[in-house]
Amino acid sequence: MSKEFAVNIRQAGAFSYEPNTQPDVDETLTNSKFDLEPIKIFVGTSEYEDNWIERILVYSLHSNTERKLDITFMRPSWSKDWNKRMWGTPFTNHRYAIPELCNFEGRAIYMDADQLNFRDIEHLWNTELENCAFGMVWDPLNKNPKSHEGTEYERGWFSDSVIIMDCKKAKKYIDPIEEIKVCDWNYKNVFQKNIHSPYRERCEDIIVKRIDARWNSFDGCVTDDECEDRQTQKHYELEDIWHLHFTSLSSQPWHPKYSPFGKAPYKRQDIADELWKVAYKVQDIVDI
Amino acid sequence: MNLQLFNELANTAIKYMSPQEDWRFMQADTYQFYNITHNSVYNATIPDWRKYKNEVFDEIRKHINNKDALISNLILVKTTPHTIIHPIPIESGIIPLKSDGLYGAIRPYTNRDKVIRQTYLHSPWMFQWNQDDSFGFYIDEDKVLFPGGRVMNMYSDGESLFWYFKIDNAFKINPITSKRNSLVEKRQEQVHE
Repeated sequence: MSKEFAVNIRQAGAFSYEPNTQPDVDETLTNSKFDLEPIKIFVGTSEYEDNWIERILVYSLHSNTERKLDITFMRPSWSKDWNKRMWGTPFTNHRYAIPELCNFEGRAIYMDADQLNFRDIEHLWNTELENCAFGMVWDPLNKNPKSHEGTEYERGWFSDSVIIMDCKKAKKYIDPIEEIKVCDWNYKNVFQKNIHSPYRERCEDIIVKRIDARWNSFDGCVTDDECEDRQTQKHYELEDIWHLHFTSLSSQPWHPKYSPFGKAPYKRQDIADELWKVAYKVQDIVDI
Repeated sequence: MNLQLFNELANTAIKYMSPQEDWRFMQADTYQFYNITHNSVYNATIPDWRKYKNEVFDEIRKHINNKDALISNLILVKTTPHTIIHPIPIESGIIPLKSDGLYGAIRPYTNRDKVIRQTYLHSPWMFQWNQDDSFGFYIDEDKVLFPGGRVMNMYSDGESLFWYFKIDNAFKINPITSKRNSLVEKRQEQVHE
């Protein structure tokens, strides 16, 4: 992994996480999960405007697992010389660099920064991918390219805001970073083509393993519920959500400074309350 | 006005919320708590807002001497020396908690377009405001401003902290187009929330 890219959580102003090596503490850690390899997590985020939610995400991940986490923030400054034409966020195509950054070895989890964890991330890490390179949640409302409008493929694809990947197998579907960075067509489109989007039958269980939708619940919705629109989609009870994605920049309970959108109300106050509980704890620690 | 209430909420916001941007207060940290638009009512989700909201609104209504006022906007603003403030519209007010060279000029107009040009002023205290039937002054801490039917220019020279609130005046401006009934409904919502 390149040095400048490996912005670890200490540098990002969040929390470092080192196993305690004091002898008396070691005893308590016998047979604990500290001895296992760290779970590699890559977080797509902005340069500094999302620090608030980054800290909350990191805190929530740590508080729900006993595993060591190796968290890397993927910031725009790392990709200054990349072609960013048609990117939807400041970090859209960073996620495709992950397998190469991991030397095409082992597993890695990708997630956007605007998320909150409720369940041990180890369960996602250990998801059975069978022969697939990626694990993602199915989103029946995902809009596919215009060329599929009016066909049965107009909507529906796997959401790439949370991905568990087998870095070795992923190599087959992702080009080298040197090619991704010069791509003039938003590399996301190239990747989607490589995994046969929007033809589900050519992808599901072959390239992408569909994972439990609770790992990427869009604002509390049952993300893979087949329905007409997000307003009519079923919702999870709070205790059934494993990992939540605050999807809309305008209605997120916080409003990053780069957002050009108006501020809209957040519909699930119970989720917002959980977010604030963590936010209060995190800020109290930061202020020490 | 019970300023302790506004100070407590401001301290909580600055400590726990993520600073935002607002078109009215360029290059400032802002924290929006409440906003009524044509199709929605925005409430900040931070739990302290639920706790203080009714009291805050009551204090504002008491201060402007209008117990039926519909408050349509409430924002906390933390300025920098680089902050540029759009002219404050009529029926709006400022609750200054910390004034670090904050300067205001109450103008004899109802339309903000008439005063937008003076936004550029580098040293507003040198401007001859009285020649334009205006009144320029340093804004004191803890002195609530509500120029009512006049617009106001504001200038930041440091790190000031104030609340901005707006009273809905659509009915006053145009009773035919203001959809009076929907405003009355929103007013009721605000009281019963």
